[in-house]
Amino acid sequence: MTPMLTRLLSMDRVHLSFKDKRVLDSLTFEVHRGETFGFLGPSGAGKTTTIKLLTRQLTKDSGTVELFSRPIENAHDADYERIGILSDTSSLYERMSIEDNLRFYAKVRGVSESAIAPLLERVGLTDDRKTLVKKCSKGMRQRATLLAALIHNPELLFLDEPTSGLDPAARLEVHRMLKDLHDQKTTIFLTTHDMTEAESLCDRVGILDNGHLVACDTPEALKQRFAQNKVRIVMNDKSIRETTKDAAGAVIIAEALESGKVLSIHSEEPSLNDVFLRLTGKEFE
Amino acid sequence: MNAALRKIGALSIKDAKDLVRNPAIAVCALMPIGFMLLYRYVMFANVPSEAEAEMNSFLIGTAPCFAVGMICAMTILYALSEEKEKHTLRTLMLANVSAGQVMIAKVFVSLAVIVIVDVVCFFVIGVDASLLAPYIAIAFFGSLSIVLLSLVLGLVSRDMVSSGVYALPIIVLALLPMFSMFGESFETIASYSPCGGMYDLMVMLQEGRLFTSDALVALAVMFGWIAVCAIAFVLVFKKLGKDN
Repeated sequence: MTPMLTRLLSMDRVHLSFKDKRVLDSLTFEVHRGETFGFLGPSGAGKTTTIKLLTRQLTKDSGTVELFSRPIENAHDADYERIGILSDTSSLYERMSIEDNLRFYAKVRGVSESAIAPLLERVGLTDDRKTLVKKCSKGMRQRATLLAALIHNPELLFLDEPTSGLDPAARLEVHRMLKDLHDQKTTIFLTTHDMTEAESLCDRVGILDNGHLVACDTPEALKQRFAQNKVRIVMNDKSIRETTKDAAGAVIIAEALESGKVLSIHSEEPSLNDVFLRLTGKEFE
Repeated sequence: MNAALRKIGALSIKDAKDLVRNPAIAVCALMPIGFMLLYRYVMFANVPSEAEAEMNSFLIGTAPCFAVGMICAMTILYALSEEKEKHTLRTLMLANVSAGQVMIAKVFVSLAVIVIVDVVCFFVIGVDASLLAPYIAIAFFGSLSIVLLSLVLGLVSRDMVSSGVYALPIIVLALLPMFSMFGESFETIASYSPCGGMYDLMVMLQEGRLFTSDALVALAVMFGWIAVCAIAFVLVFKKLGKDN
């Protein structure tokens, strides 16, 4: 039996223009409880604008935006206490330590300070908790800022390019944290232009181009949609044979294997980057 | 309501701690005390006894003007601009804190610091201790116009550089009554400035004329400026409170 999906937020035919420039064009999608939804697109596609609309920082021109099954215009302040947001510009107080910043946000959110230690432990910042934010590396700052957004254990988390500018190690730590949150059934709305990140973290992705959603599905389904019916056999002498993924192809593969001269066999799977290219005719930046 | 009070409380504690952490703000907050010490014990150290009352009038009027100018420029104007420039204000708002709550906390901390500095200045000047209660009351209400004006300029300024430009008129306006000694026409202008009412009431307090009809004009000036600045604040807050 298919599990019942609870819609946590949605947009229906949302339009937004800044002066003469159309930024969002009939944007329609929904995000279900407990899923990690990736919003993909190059810079300027409208990803941050979408988050701003969903978090009351901007107002739409037309269409419907629903948050917790309520039109966003009728959302209560209490609804926003159930949300955590890490924007592209989120930052902590530089003259305060990581721990003092988290204490401050714990007070603002009305949660016990006992929530801080496990969070610091989770992202490996326990030993650096007394470090002033101004003396932290970019990776430490980003993880600490993410903790400030998580301090009240939100049901819904908006993350705008959470790993932008991080080194690979810090990026992996953030990914591990997001996977933990996903396991704890936190709903995550994530914008990124990193395809690998989207593939490894997201249950579903929406591909945005010029403010218009050109596809929305699981990464696997999107890749399957553009998968080619092609298998490539590389022989020991570097010669290449191409065949199809059907019975006739199976015979050719079997013959090649019997010859004992096969170096490798590849199924031609497209990456999400290829999917984006096919859908929009553009390369990712 | 509880959530709003909790947030204002957390913001106030954070802002108060920042006074100590930020040397620029701490120095500006202590500057009025330093100036009063300088006036009292260096510049006016050998004032003849017959001129002492006049000196005390000048100092008791000057101290709260100095305090409100320096403290508001730093704890409200500069601090708000810094929060904007470093994106901590936006981060706060995304944590469901309203612009109003941020401003109430800043006003609360500023007024608390102004009153503390005013009280220290009062004892440095060394006037009759029985004047302390009315002195605090006048200093508190007299500071409100500059506090509101600082909020207006804090809303308008986009970054710390522009706050530096806006701080100048705040300090000049606050200190204007100090220069009333430079001539009668100057004194008249100074009397009608935002801190002019407060300065004149302080002088009357020192001279024992506070509870006479002489004080009515100064009271009207003081509360008039509070009303004007409050209206300006409401108008600017409605326009820029969310966007800017």
